[in-house]
Amino acid sequence: MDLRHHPSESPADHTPDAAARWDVPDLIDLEYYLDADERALRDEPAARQRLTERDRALYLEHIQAPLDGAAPHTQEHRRASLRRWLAERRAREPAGMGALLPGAAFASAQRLGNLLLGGAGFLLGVAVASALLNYDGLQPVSVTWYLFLLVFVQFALVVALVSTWVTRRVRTGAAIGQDLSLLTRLIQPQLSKGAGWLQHQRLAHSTEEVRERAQSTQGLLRAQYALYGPIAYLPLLIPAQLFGVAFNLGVILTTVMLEWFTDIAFGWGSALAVHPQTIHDLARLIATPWGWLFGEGVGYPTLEQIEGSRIYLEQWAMSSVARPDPEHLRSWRWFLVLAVISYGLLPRLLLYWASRLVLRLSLERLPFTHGRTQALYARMLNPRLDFTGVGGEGGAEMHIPAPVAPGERKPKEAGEPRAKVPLHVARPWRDQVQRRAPVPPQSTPVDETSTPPAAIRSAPETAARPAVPAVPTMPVTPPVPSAAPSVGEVAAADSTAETAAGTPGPRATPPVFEQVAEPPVEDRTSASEPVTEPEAEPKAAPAAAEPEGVPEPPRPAVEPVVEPASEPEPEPEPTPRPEPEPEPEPEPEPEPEPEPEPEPHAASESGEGQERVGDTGAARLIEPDPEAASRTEPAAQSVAAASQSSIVSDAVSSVDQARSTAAPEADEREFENKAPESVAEPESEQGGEVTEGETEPEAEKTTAEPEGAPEPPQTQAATLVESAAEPTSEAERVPEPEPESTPQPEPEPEPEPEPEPEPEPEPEPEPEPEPEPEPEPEPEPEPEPEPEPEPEPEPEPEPVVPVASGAGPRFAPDGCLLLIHVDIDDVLEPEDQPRLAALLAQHTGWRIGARAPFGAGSQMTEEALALVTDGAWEAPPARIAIIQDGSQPPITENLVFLRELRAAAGTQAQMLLALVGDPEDEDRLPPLSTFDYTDWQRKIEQMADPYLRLEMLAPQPQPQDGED
Amino acid sequence: MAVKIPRLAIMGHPNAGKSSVVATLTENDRIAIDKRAGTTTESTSYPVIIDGRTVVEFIDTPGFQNPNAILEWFQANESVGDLARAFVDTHQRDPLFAHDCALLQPVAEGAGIILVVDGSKRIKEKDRVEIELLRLTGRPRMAILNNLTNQDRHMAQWQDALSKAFNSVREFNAHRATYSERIKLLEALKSIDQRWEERVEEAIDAFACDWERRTDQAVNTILQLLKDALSYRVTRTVKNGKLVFKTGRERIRDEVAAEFEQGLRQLELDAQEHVRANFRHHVWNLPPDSILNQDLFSDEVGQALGLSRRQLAMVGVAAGAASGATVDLAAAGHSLGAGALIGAFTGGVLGLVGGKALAKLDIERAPGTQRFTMGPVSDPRFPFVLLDRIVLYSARAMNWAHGRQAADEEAANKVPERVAVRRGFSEELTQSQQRELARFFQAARRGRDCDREAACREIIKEILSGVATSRIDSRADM
Repeated sequence: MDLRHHPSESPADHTPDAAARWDVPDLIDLEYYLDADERALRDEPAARQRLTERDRALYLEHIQAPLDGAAPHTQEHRRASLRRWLAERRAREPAGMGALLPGAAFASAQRLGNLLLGGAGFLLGVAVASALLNYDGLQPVSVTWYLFLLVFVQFALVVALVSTWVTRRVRTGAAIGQDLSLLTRLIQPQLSKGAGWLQHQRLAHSTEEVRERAQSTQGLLRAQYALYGPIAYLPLLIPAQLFGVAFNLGVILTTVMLEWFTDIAFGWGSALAVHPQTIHDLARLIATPWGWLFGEGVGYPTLEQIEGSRIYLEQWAMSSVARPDPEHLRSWRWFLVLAVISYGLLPRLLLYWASRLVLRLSLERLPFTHGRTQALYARMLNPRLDFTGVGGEGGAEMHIPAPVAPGERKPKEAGEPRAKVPLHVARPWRDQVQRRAPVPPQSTPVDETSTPPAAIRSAPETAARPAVPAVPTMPVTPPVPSAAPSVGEVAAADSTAETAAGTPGPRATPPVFEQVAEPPVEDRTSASEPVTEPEAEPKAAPAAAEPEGVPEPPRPAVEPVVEPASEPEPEPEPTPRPEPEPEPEPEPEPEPEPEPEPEPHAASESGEGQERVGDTGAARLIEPDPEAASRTEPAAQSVAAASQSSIVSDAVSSVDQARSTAAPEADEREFENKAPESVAEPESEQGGEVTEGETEPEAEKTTAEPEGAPEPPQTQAATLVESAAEPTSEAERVPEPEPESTPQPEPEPEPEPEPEPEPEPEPEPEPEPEPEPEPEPEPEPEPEPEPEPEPEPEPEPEPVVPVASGAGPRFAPDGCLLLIHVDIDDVLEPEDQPRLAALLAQHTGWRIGARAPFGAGSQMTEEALALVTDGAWEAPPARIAIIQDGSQPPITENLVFLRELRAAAGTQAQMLLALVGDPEDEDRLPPLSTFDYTDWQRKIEQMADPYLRLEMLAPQPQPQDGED
Repeated sequence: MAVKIPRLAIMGHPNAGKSSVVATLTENDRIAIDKRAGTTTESTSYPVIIDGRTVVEFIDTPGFQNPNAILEWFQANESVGDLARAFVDTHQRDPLFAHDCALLQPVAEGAGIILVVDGSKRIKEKDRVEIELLRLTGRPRMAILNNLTNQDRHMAQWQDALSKAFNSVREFNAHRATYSERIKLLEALKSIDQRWEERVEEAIDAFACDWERRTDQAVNTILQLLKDALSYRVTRTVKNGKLVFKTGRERIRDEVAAEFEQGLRQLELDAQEHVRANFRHHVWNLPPDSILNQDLFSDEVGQALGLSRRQLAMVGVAAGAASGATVDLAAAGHSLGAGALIGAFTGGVLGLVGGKALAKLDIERAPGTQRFTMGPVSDPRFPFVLLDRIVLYSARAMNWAHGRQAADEEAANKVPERVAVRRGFSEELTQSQQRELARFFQAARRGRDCDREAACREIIKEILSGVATSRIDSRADM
């Protein structure tokens, strides 16, 4: 008899069919694997990643596909995927290990146990039955005992089992058992406590290990029970039923065998006065299950048979007088067998089947939602997220731009395209007004000496506002600018051509010349008209240049002057931008060309040129009556001298001579001229103040001029020229003095010359913007001042002036150029200016000679640089203070700007980089955090620029800010 | 797949917090981040890989070094079709533009753009330049206002400026972003290019699943810690010969007590380690004044966390009266045979003992030896304190953005933490929840699993998910 009815319990679950079913060994293995995983996790949290990957991979590769029908997170899906996961895990065990898994071990143990229990039950049944049916021929076998032991006791056990089962069910189902449990509640704790105490006592004397193991087993069992309910104990109950079934089978078989092969007499007896009818009723009651089938006499004995099988002991003692009918004694035989079958075997079989059914149902209903399986399920279902890509350190650090050689810068930046995009178009957010605002301050150089800081502030402000309107038109025309400079040059060339062709040459390119030539003419023509102020300037400038024209260095000064002049006409601003780039290139080329051309012109037109010059001068004079008159006179003189010299030279070759000769003459004249100029400037200042803000700065400049007599005139001239035609003439002359003064320039000359060629273009742009706005207002003031102040300042400045680089602003010995980053400049309010100046002075002792914004594009940079190269520095090495927003980390762009600045200002120019924190409402020049400062410091140090100093503009609350 | 993987280049000027944003988005705290500008020197790709398949790719880039020059170049070459590509091709060799090329390279390759700006500062020239030049690239783009401070005066202005040039503008604090904010940011990515919707959706789902799983794991860890800690005991067997003098006995007793406390601390540390790994934190230091840095048994911790005395009494009375008695009986049962009960503690009236004693000490006398046993924990406050602490730790781990490693906590303008609540998590639970927990603790104390565990799991999970979605204050100041 095979007691193993569990083919499915074999761990062989690789068949597709089995792969969807759960069995007890599967659960055990699942728990085993889960436990292993959990232990791995506990030992090293990092294992989580590995587990996640493994389970997700298993799911994707082996589990998902067969389950494509089921939706995730449903019961079936969970069960099936876990089951498949288990199958996969088992399949991954090394060969031979599969049989050693706890599930397989359990299955084989269960098989063996079933076998043993079945065998034992059968044997026991045989033994008990044969013992009970032992018939010695004397005394019939007692039906009562047989029935009691094999039927009533068995049945009672079954009933008890079922009843506990049922009550348990009921109690868990509803809380009906509460009343009952009052008793159990009182007793059970005591019992369990007693058991616990006993156990504790036992364990207390056992070793630690044993104790822990016992406790963990306890815990495990409890946990298992909590998790799996009936499944936890049914596997143990089922073998018990098996035992019962086998036992009954043994009993029945033995009984039947004995009945078949031996004659057995059955009887019953009682000491009580029991009527056979009662027994008969009892027997019939007991036989209810089968009585209907077999009927009285077979299924159960008849009343007669019962009477006949009654055993009276005296009967036997009295010898066998009335022997009972053997048939009556045998009448119980089938009754007993049927009773055992009905009350022993059948209930056991039912229980067996029922428990198997319950087990199956429980297994099928397992939700697998407890923590550990939930985690596993989540690992399988959840997409595995992975973020790789820890960055390599391959990138280069921020690039520290190499120093820019003076000549390099322009070609680099000279991207022609840039010039094509007007600033306000390129940066719509940058309001023209905003942009202009800073520009005017630049253009309007403020001489600290002459004007107090307050004046300076007011100057930029006022200048800025008014300047704005005039500007827009100028910038709009970018292409023209290129022409414009050339025009200026041309104009100069034209005018100069007569006198000194060589001087204009470098600036004016031949082609430009032609083109430009027209405009100048127009200008001149127009100059006669009121509008001509600017035009007149250029003319005058060239005229002045012509005589002076010999020395190149002066040219730069002249050029800027000229350019502004040209610019003012139609498109001053744009012209400067493009000019800077193209100019350098064309200059060299044109120089030679123009020279020859001008020479002939000069030769032929010399007289005319003189005349023209005189005319132009006259025109100018006419316009700015007083000033013009005074200036024009000298100018005319100089021009005349120049023309004369040129005339004298006549020949092309004579140009040089003319220069040399003319230079001294021009110088002398220039001085004279300068005197008036300087005078005029102060006047202009006054006038400017009176009339417009713009004029003020100019006035300041002019005042500054006195310091460096020759240079100042130049700067003034430049500004003046820009503003007024008359000054231009002066400016032109100014350059002359430089060449003449060449001996003087020695200190400066070296640095200057280098930057000059490049810067020349730059300076042009600067002046341009200034002139644009200024010219209109300036003319008025200029004329007035000219006569008065000129004489006084002239003498002094001339000797003092060391280097007059260009036509830009004049810088007193302690004056500096202040460059402010637009981010700060945009925020600064007028009332911040004094503080800014004070802070600056605190660091350097410098006063602000001019200011300009930077940081918004190359054009702005050009303009700023132009101020440097164009400015007239009384104390040669340039002084530049740069205000940066230190709260923004340094980027290459900032450093490049510093490099360019260095290239423009010369290697020994003092540069102060002052950092400001992020502007706030209450404090627009707040101190910088130390962290940001050190950040900048690192970069600046890498630049290795000994003349560049890094400071915090505003001192930090606690730490001091030292000066280098 | 025909659909191209969404690639997103995180751009901005140096130190704008690009790397922080990437680190926070991808939960990768191994990305080098420094307060100093220019930490990132090359473009690095951080793909989001789901089951081995890249779904989204974030690219961390160096900061703009020459925005003005780039813009001017772009404007001058506007006729060129692909500006970024053209720029990179032109300037590849120029060291001056090394970083600019590196950061435009992904854009040249078709990546979308996420511009990161610091919303706490006013708009600078550089910012406008960058906005404009990114606009000129013509790629799908989105802007992130990475405002690390409470300074929001400029936010409106930023919004205006950015929304003109960007498909989407989002505020995002890379140092404080919680899970839900990250998800929202990802959601916004969908809107900047519709073709990405599917992929991004997938990524979001994966993120959500992953987060759910991690929360579950954290809850598991917490429950396990509670069970372990509450059933923890220390035993030491000593020969009688060493206990001749009273001092010897006291010394042993102190040692056992110390070992017991140390064991509990270690349990907590282990659990914290689990939580930390769970939320992918490798580099993470608690602020020095955090209550998590205090000793588990210190007074500060005891006062700041756990239930108030009154609550504890209520919970004790309501939930524990009967079971408290049985606990005592059980405890008595355990110690009956052991003889003297030296620990001053008796677990008596649960909740009214504000208990100095953490656990009681058992001494069992056996012939020739004595066995000292400490535990399990009997202080009714302790489990609540422990729970609060581990939940606090988890909350910190969940809400600690991965990009925060280099956060300058001392900086004055950082977001001030909210006014200190100074109350534990458990204190704000409803009384019935507290009761559930108390029951669970008692069961755990006896080493018994109970059906409260599921309820407690729910409670703890609710706290954690509340923290993740900012429904519950994460007590970042504790």
